Amino acid sequence: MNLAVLILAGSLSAIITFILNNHLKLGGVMASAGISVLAGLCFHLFPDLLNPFLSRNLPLVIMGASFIGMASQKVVPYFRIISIAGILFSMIYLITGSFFEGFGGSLGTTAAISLLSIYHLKRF
Amino acid sequence: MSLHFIFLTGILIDNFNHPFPALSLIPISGLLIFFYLKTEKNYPKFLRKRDLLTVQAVTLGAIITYFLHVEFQLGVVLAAGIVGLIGSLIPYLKKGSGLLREVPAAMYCGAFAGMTAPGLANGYLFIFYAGMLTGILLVLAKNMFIGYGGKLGTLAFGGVSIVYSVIYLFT
Repeated sequence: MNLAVLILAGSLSAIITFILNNHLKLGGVMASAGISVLAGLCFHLFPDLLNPFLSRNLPLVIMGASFIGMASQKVVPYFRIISIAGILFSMIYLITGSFFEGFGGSLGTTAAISLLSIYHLKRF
Repeated sequence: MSLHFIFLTGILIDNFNHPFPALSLIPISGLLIFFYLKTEKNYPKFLRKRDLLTVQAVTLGAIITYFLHVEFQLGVVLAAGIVGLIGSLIPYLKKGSGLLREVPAAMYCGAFAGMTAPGLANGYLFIFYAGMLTGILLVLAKNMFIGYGGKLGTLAFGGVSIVYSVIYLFT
């Protein structure tokens, strides 16, 4: 159940950031930072809203997946690439474990790996 | 961009006893290699004086994020988000200024470097060096991977991990 929520959140967050970034012309930084502030604030103000596993990991997944949505529409023209990359992001995040815990930028690296590896599937 | 493979190797070492995650990494790295082979490799290189401002903005973003995270007990996500949001408002101060337009990405990149956990980064000096190195990497990689998501985070990871390994080796 928890894993399903995380994977769904990753996909949704990537798509929402992509829409904010490209269709509403907010720019990548504002779109991603806005999503992150919303997620962070929600779990900062109501820490007991969900179970401890989700309230620790869900903001990180939402923020990390929003980096995927920072891609510009000229480079990634399809929604399905973004949503699959979001799902892949959540899966890589789950298996990363503790090796890079606390390193700044590990979320962004995971986002880059998931988007770049899925990128050339756009022709199918 | 061998950083991606360092990261994947780290995951692999971490998961050595669990076969399923390790196996699932193989198609991912295959696709990643395919991407690198398929993408063209001509990056024009030039440096300008305003790149110094980029480095400063990255360092500033990193330090502010770390400060918010440590002193105010905000979560890392909230701290980095606040810094990114403030940074993205800066170009509206003076529209049409090319100098200010580069600040948001730089500050957000620094915010990722500042997300380093306090247990790993022992003090503001670590964050300062990591932010500065991230800024230099950002300036050098200015024309690479424009428009792909995750570029800023990869650079921040590079800065933090290089500084961490240098400190780890020499102390």
